[in-house]
Amino acid sequence: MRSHIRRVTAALLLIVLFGCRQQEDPATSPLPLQSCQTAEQYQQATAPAGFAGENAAIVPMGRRVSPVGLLVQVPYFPIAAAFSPDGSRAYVVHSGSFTLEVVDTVAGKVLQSIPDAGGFRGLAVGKDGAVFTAQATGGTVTRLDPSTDGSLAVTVKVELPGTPTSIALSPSGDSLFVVSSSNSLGWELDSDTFAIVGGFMTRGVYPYGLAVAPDGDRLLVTHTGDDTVTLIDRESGEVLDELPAGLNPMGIAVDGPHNRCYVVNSDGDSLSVYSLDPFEALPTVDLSGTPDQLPGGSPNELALSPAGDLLYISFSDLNMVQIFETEGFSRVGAIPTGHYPTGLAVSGDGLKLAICNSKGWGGAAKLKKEPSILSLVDIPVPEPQLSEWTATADANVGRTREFWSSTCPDPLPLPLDPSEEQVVQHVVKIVRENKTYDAVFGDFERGNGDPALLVFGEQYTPNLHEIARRYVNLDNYYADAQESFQGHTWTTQADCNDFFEKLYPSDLAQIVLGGYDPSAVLAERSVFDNFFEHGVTFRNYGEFESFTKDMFDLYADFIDFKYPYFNMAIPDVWKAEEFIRELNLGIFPEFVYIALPNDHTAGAKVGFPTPASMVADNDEATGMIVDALSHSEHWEETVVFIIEDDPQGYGGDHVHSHRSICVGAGPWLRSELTSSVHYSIPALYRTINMLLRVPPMHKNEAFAPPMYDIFRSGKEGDGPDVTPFEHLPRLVPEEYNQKGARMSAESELLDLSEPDAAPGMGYILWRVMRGDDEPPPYAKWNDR
Amino acid sequence: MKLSFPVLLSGAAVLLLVSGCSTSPRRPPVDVPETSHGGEIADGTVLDQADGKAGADVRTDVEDVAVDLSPEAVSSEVQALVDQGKYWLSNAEPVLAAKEFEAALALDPTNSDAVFGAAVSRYVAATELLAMVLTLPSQFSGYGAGSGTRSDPESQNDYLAEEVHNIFLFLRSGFLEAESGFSSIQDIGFRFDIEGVPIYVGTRPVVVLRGKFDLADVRLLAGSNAFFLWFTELLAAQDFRSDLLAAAYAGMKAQDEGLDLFTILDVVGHLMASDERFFTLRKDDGHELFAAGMQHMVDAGANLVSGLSLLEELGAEEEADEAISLGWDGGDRLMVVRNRVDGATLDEAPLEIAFSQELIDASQELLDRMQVAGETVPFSQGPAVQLGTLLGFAARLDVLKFMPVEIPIDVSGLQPGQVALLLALMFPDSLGFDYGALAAQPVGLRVLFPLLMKVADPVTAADFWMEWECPAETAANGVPAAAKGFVCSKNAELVDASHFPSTPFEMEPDGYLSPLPYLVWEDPTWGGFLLVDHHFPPMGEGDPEFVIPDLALTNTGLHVWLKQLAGLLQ
Repeated sequence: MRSHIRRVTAALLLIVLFGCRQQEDPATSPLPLQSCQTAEQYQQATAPAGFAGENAAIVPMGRRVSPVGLLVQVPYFPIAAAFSPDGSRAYVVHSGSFTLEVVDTVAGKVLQSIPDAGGFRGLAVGKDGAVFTAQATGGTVTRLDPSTDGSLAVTVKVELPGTPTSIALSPSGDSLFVVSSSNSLGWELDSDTFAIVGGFMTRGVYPYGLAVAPDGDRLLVTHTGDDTVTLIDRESGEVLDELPAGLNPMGIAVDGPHNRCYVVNSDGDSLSVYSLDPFEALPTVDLSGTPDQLPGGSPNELALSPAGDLLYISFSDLNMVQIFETEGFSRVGAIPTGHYPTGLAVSGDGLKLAICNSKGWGGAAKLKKEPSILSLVDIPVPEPQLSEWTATADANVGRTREFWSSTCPDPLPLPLDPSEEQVVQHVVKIVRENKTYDAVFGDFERGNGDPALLVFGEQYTPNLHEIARRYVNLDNYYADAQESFQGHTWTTQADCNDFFEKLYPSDLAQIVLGGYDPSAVLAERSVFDNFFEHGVTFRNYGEFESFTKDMFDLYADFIDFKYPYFNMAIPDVWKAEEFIRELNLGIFPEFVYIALPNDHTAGAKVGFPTPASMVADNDEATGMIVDALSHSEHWEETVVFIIEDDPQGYGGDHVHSHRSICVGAGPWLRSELTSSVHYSIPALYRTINMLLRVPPMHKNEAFAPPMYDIFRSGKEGDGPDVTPFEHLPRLVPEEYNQKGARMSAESELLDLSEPDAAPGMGYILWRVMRGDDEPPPYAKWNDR
Repeated sequence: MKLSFPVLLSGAAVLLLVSGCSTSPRRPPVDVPETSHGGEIADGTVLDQADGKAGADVRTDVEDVAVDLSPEAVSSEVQALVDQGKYWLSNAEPVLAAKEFEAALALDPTNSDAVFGAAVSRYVAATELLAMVLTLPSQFSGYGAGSGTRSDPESQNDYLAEEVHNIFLFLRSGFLEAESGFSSIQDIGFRFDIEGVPIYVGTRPVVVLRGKFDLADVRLLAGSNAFFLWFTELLAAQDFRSDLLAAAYAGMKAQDEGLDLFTILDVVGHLMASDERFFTLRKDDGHELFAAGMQHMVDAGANLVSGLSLLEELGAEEEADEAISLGWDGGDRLMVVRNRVDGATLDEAPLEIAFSQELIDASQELLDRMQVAGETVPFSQGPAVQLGTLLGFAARLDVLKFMPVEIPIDVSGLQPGQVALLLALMFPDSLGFDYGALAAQPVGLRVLFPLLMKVADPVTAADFWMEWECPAETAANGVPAAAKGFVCSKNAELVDASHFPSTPFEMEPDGYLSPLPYLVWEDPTWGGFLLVDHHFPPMGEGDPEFVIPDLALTNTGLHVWLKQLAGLLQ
């Protein structure tokens, strides 16, 4: 009897075990879902951002960077470079610091770092070795001369009434020309004394690039505000002519041998070519590299070989410099770079190319303001090296396209299958403020969280935890914003164009409306434009970034004007109630964008609710929205994504400074899943576009990996689960910061008038929430 | 019954502020018949369905059916649209409501419910948008240090100035749409029944107008609508070209700490000093807009007079079930608005706003005098009354808390007449304003502002200087032609002189040739400078205590006066 029982028990156990495998719930089973996805593909898809081998890194968007040549560590965000006349030195200026670096181009090391000698892209070198820089913020122009020991020292400085964006020397070197972006003014200075010998107005909005015609009598200025190039008479200061350029014309180079000039259009992915005599436009060169001319490569700076036969153009978003012949403009090849290459320079002998890799290793290092990289590459690049580098550069960009096998016969998840009926009719995207993954999910039972970096765990965010627990949590998701204020640019464009990438790190160097300026909207199209153009209805609750140019005309009916923008004085719960009010009225279009900003908190600023209180308010509001949606008639056709706009501060993250939160909810999402696929905002919008049957609007979206793994397949047994979600009440009472509380004095200095303008918030919040605990040394911060 | 203009303005202000809101979230929606679109958003526009995507917020289930044009069918359709419009309006969706009403009007232009419904919907939507826009500047960040110099005509700042102009034009358009509807309703027997018309500021209603609407309410709404038209047209007429970015930056940065009067003056001063075009009339449409605004100011008064008169007239015939009714508190009239909403609790209670007979009389007199050129209205009888009643209404509605400027004292208990009196006491009688001249000869707001220059004067300890810009030409009565009514010293000689002569603050002439207008008191001890009535005897005669003011003295005095004002508000 006993042996019979044991046999039956064993059999039952086997049945249970074997049966469990056979009846594995597809909604919760782990990756891979693709039957033919290789182990290597899986490993690549789930690799985190950060260093990936020697001289290589994976950046937040999932692309790989592998800069070549002699790599020199320089301070954050180099934006322009120039060589000394003999090529032994390279000079570098930044958007993000006010230093000028002097680099030994042979030894590959920084010889000098001169404070208060630079600031944005104004940089020029005279034939006598004098170096000229312009500091946009302070309006100063500086001359530095080499001393007997070769070091540079400031010799002349002048302050101009404006924001000097670009400078250029006359062919003789006697004069220095300066243009100011804020007021479209320009000056001619005596290059020795800086006496003002002439002035002009550029007649365009937001002058950016400046060049001098070979004859020395005319100046050329690009304008990003109105996409023009103007030709100015040096003597009279009069504008001789104005011609259209492409979208956001940035860098400009004069080709003396061909008597032409080239203007690279960063948002248009094109090259405008002009003859100088007469001044007229020649055919524009498409640089998109795609049949449908998708923007998003961000070609922004250029440099010409001395003979004028080769044009080097930095493609910031593609992390490469591409080389073109100036006859016919065929692509010769590409040079892999670090993250976000910008400024270029060719040495006088044509044998060296300097590349400013503005974002260095893409946040792989510990601090956001990590060292960046100046690449010094020997040119022209011979074969077979050029072909190898070109293949590497292309493969680096296309890395994310290899996550999923394109030849696999498995059907796509039903919601993402364009050949099937559209089952998801509504996408709700909730955008919150400033959290890394560990700061909130350090205590989460699934996923790669580190409790040592936990700041706002489940006691403060019960709803987010429960939603993540019930549905989908992404633990390898990144907020791409390099600077905190760019967060909302990314959430509304799935990109941050070159104009705004360069602008913000310069710490108020420029007068601009930030992300609200049309120049700061990639190709002047946000996700809302893309939806509108393709007939997708949408409604905007509280987002103004990238939106303002049309908010009073084209999109006036698509905004809830009762809903405030970044007003932390209004509880997020009230904001949620406003959305729910309209939902209950049946106002629920296909794409809904909801901003819930109060988890930004006010630090310990006296008079404001405590950080814990504000995060709890924000979390409750999040839960209320998901609750209301899940009880509505639309739930079965709805997907909700909850993200943070950027990962500024809040304790850092143990994986990467950009790792952040993305939680999904909805009947068509899998249950109890943590996806470790490398995703970021472009991937999110790629997925949303697929759900709503909208094409991508730029390369970021087109190249991003769709979130295939988080959706139910739609096959029998794997259909939608419409169980509603019940939101949880806040566990933290409403309390207010008191005078004298920890970090209240530091918090008084915080700028809370707009999103993400509060540097130091991360450290403050750590101290407020974690007391005297020190963050672990391995923590990676994105704070200022 | 004649009512004063400030009363009318006050009523307008109330209704303006009240009218920006939408639904009451606590009330169930009006029970309306099922519509073909099942409650989804509809704009009534025929759609191109070719690609399966019809565009934003549009109906997608429009069926191609034969149209029944019988009067009964049309009437039924119209009624359904009107009912749906009322549903949206009572549920805080005025834009959707307007579209329903306008669709009804397309079928029956004479339907009074549709006429009023469309007008009030557009009005509510416009005021709601205005409330949002007024808080919008805080959301725009102007980065960096200002250039402080005049910009190239095609620069970033000029582009922004044009955008500001377009925003005000856009705001104006909403009120214009409402205007024609309101004015077309003339029937004394007009009635409009609706659950309620909520008016929001932000995410919470401040007022819900509950009850029947009659012709009196139409007039009151029309009056407030006209007031907002005046406001938007006045601003749309201005040339905003100046160093806007830097000013926006400064204002935005200050807002976090709470804007104060001096910060505002600092910002305005920067704008005035940066560009001589700032706050002059636009050359293209400035005159037209200004003139339209002045007419709307008169219209506002006329409509509010009419409305209050009708309130009294119709009140005797109607039950006390009206959105706005008239009551009495002793001899004071009470405008009873049903209801004000507590933003935190959403509790509703009637709001009573008192009008003393004195206030009404003063306002009526002002209304008469302001249309006559050459008539100088003392500040205490003109702007103080207007501004006081306006602020008083705002205070009673408890909407001042939404203003970017922090008011350190609780004014919610003040009635309009009390605020008007307070302001009147602060300004000397001889300070006046010629409304009629301003209406007859449009001029930019610049003429009303002193030129403000921020200084850090160690001698006088002044923070800034204020000087009015006036041309050298002076009319026979001592008023410069372009001053538009500011009281100027009748016999002041337009010369430049040393400042603060024979005082420790004595300063050299600065070459500024226009001391007019300036404030000079008879009593030389008042705030440290003198006020001269424009009927004062010629220079050199009269009271030996009179001291000829110069710019420096005036500047210092103004500085002292403003500090006193600020202290009064503490």
